[in-house]
Amino acid sequence: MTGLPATISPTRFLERLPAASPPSPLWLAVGLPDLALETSARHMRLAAISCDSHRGPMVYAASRAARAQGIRSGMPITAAFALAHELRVYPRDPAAERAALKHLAEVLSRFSPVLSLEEPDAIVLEVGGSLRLFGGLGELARQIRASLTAHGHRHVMAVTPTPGASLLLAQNQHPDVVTDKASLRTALGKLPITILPFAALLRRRLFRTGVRTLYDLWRLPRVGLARRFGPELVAYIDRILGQRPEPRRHYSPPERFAAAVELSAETFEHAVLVEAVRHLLTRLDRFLRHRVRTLSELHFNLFHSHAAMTPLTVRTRRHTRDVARMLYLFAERLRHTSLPAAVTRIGVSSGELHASPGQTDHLFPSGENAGEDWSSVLEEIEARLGHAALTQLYLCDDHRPERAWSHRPSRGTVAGQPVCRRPLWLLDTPRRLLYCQGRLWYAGGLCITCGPERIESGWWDGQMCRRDYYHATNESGSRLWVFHDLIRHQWYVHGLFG
Amino acid sequence: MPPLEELIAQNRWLWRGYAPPVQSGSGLSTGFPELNDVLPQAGWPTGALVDMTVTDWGLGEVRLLLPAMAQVMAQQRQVVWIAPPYLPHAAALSQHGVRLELLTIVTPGDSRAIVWSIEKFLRASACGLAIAWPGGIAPSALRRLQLAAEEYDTPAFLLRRAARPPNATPAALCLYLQGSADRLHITIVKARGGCRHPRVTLSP
Repeated sequence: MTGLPATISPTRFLERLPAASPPSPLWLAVGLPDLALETSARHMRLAAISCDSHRGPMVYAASRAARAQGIRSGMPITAAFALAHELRVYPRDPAAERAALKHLAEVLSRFSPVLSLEEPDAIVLEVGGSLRLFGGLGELARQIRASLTAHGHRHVMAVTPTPGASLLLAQNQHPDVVTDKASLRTALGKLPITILPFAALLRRRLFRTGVRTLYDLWRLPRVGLARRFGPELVAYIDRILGQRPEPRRHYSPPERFAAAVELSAETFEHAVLVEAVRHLLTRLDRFLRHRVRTLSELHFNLFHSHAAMTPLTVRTRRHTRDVARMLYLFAERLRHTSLPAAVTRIGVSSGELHASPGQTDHLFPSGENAGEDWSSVLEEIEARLGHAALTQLYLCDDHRPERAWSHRPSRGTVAGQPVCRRPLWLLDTPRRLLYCQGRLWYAGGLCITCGPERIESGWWDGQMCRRDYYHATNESGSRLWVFHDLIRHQWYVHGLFG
Repeated sequence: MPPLEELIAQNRWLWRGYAPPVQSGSGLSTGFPELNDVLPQAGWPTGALVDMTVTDWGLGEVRLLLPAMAQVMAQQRQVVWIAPPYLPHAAALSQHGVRLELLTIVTPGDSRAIVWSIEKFLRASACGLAIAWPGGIAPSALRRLQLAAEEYDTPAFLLRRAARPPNATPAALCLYLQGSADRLHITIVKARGGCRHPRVTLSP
């Protein structure tokens, strides 16, 4: 910048910049060597994860304390117990590991849109395109490291120009940074041949020919290698060195949020349940923010050990990303739900997601945002009293008074208003009137003051009615809407002119 | 000014029982000139509880409130009906000029929930008027509602069915409604600020 004259025009300045070249791809692999332990035996000091093999149960992973006592992966469980009899052994849970990996992918998707899961225990992301945004590789790596540590995962990171090489380094705990393809051979050369993801037979054959490290492999002629060990070996070498493209399956996160949390102990405590949901909703918040999405419906499932699960649904009137509000509504609903048994597990899943339009705040709070306030009041009422407690009225196009309204907006248009006056109150069902001595009786004698109005309708749907409606007054001064049913020849009261 | 006069002028909690009231005109017009004339604020008090006792439903007690509802709705503010005794009839409401989209009906289960929801709505700035049919209600709950209505400056009407008006009420205005033929007799049992005539007869 120092060489530029002070009055250079913006366009000239742009011309002087070198033509933008697409950033060269750079792959960052995150290896999680203790993922199995971290998902199944997080708080155990002396623990091991077992998996089945053809020789019986084997140690799949061992904690640091267990490793210090000589327990190694691949060892029979019986041998591990011989070394440390107080060892706690947990079976491996591949589904939980996959879920944890997906969760981490969710966390890391903030750093790069191109990301793939490498089961069982690694994630690769393309960071070449993100360097500028995050201010260089060092800063980016620092942020990734911080978020992995915050989630309590031990990790190894490696950065190279090819995903295969990064993975090879990270999964085998060789943290390294290589930014150009030319020095890739040197960086990988020191790795032992035993870590290559090949069949044991092929590795043994390579070992027998005197190949100990990858450096030995670089020195052998390609044609000979392909002939003696098969073309896959050469293809693999080409891929990790970036001489052959290596397409990877991108991880596309689900378009619906679902998560669950296992409670450490069965509980009825609302505070504990709300706290657990708060953790779930923090993940929801991140999920929504990364996708720029909003939602209006959340389904909670409270699982019990000896009873059917309790579903709870929280709805908001507007599409929102406000998880604090969701948490409040959940707590409110929970308070008015009776739980059949103690809760062991809580699951949450989102309803449909919606694109989030940008929001504009008012500079000065005015009456205009009163609507927001209103919808949140309605949400709170619904959360406490249930969805059925809150209704609105809509007109329907029907002459029968009991069908002339509805709680839901009706399809089609409402043609017109009835000409005669209608009562403000309707009874749920018309109530029979006594007719004797030429007079109608309903808590005292009635005087007919106005009428009749004939309503004859509904022959098409089996709910035929033929009624003559009258206005009547009783002794205490109430005005009633009564009718004479011309089909059944009975008198009924149908409403009050409140 | 004598100290007593000064105190009455400054403190709205004190008023003369039998002196002709000073009409301030700050109320929400009832839509009935006869009633406006006798009420201390020339209409319904805006931030207060109105406790209405009717001898029976259907005397015209809702029609008495419809003009006030229409005014509130004209300002695009919401009206809430809480625990109505019967089904509100949409066709009749729209005949009376009520905008159904601004009317919300809440049916809470018990009387505690009724009081809670009235208070909740009074707090909402978009709510312009609340009408509730609470059945039995504790005096402490009434006081709470009166304070909420005052604080959030939203009128709330309680309609109760009883043979007699209540002996004492914390509400700012207490009316007793009786009907005969097509007339509605209103007795003003209590009005904060005093009233000219304790009885009015309307034909709503």
